[in-house]
Amino acid sequence: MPSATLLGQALISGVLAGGMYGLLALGLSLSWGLLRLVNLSHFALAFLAAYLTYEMGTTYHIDPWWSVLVIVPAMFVIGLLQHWVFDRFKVNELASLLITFSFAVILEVAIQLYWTADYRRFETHYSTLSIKVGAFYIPVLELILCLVAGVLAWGTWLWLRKTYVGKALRASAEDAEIAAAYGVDHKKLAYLLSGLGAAYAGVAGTFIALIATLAPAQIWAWLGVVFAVVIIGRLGNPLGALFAGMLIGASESIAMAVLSPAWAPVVSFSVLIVLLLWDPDWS
Amino acid sequence: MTSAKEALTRRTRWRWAETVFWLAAFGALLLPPGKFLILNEIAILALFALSLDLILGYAGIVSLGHAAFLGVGAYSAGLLAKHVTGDPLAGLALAIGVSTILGFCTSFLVLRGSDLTRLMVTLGVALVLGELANALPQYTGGADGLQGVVMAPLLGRFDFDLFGRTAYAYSLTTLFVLALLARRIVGSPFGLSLSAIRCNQLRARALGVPVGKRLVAAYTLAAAYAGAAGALLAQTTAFVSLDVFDFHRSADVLLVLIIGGAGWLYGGIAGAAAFKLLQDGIASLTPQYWQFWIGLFLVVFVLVGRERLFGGLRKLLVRR
Repeated sequence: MPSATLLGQALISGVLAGGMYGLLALGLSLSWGLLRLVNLSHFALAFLAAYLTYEMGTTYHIDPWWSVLVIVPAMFVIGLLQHWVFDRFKVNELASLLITFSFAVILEVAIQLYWTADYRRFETHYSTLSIKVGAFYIPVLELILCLVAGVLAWGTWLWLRKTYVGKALRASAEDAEIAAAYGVDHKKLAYLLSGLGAAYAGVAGTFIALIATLAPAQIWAWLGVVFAVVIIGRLGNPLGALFAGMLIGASESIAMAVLSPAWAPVVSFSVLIVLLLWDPDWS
Repeated sequence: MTSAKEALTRRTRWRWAETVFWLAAFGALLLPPGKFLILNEIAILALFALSLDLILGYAGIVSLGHAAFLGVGAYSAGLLAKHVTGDPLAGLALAIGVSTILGFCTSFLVLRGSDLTRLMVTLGVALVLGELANALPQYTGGADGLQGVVMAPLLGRFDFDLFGRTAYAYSLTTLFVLALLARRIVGSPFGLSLSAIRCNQLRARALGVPVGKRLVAAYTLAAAYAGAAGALLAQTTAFVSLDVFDFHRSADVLLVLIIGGAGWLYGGIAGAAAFKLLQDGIASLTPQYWQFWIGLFLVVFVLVGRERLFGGLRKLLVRR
């Protein structure tokens, strides 16, 4: 059994790393839960944003805190374009899965074409910065990531609960026809939501560039965990996605410390499967 | 009365196009060596897609992790050949047995909950199995793959040759036998009840179809088929690597089935041939970026609709 310090440190790093799962899950959860579109290319968009951050940082020496101002709106536009395709061809859930899988493959190849398949690391002077609290170290970047994810998730949650636009979106997710009869323009709102989802991928991508090592094949690395997080957090629930992300991050990290690193990837789906056994109608 | 019975049996009658297809497939064995490797790959992918068709096309279960059974079949056949006996048919039988058991056990998990959670659970089972194979390198060889798989001659007589003629004959025969079996099954009352469940679960239940049991049976059957495909893969390449559990495998086979069309058994075979030939053709034109073109093709294909492209072929092979 590892020491209390190690366990505590594992818990802190796990929760903070889980912020990334939550941030990635946020956009997916919105489009899946409210638009019934499963967007596999969400990860590819996040990596595209990460590579753009990397490119701006290394070639043009633009700080990520500035480049994010360009990348996030650009991603928003890409989200709109993607939704135009879905809208134009009346894509359903299964087809969206296949099409976005193909989108992701295309983006993966495009990234590989420009940035090659080599591993890239965006080095900054603050990338290893951390604060010492008692016996524990808290990495600053991950902490900022969690704060940003928290603000976005909470903001989105409030937006969906309190504003008329948010309420209209939830209404048409529940029953599109009745909502339309009450004057909800689902089409316009769907565009807004798709753009927003892609913009969140852009935010996530900026942090991926700062925290992780980039390689085109890494697009698929988080797919399983983040999908599990989306379901555990309940579809269409931003705060749920964030908390589920942190829960999974923490359990993975504890499993790594107590058992062995090889078992970490099994954790998220074990949690999901137990949850579904307990309540089959979860999500 | 006779007309209802006729309508049901008419769909199961042989058509000349089917006979021509199988004759052509077996006739390909007489070709000079050179194309057997890709033909073998097509036959294996076709069997894998056929297995997915049994649950997607007939029972209406979408699986994102069908590679779980392919992988389990491949590893069981590979491990048997490495440690016990190199006899291919013994490996095939073991792979079918193991994947059947796994399919039966996981079916209860998969069939709980809605379509959405099904996607996740199937994906999850494949990922967990992939991680298990990765975490137990003493048995599976881990990331290096399972090496040292040596196959004995098929039926004690036919050696697996370098050109893959034996391999293709073996895979094609397995595909043929299992496709015939599947053909009987989907035309049987059991198969018809599956179609009824896919069309309207509530009504099927009201008619007295034991929905849960039928779905468990269909899922288990599909797992057995996928296990057989895995065994063929392991035996004809004499190697098993972790990528048998990969998400790409599950997604590719779903695409193959969509290309060929789900719900008519030959869809998997047509899709597999189209997918592999396309892959092969584009890869020889642009060796590095073929994935890009495949991806683009698939986007257009799914968007514009396959009915326009493959509808005619389907009419030829199936009575409706």
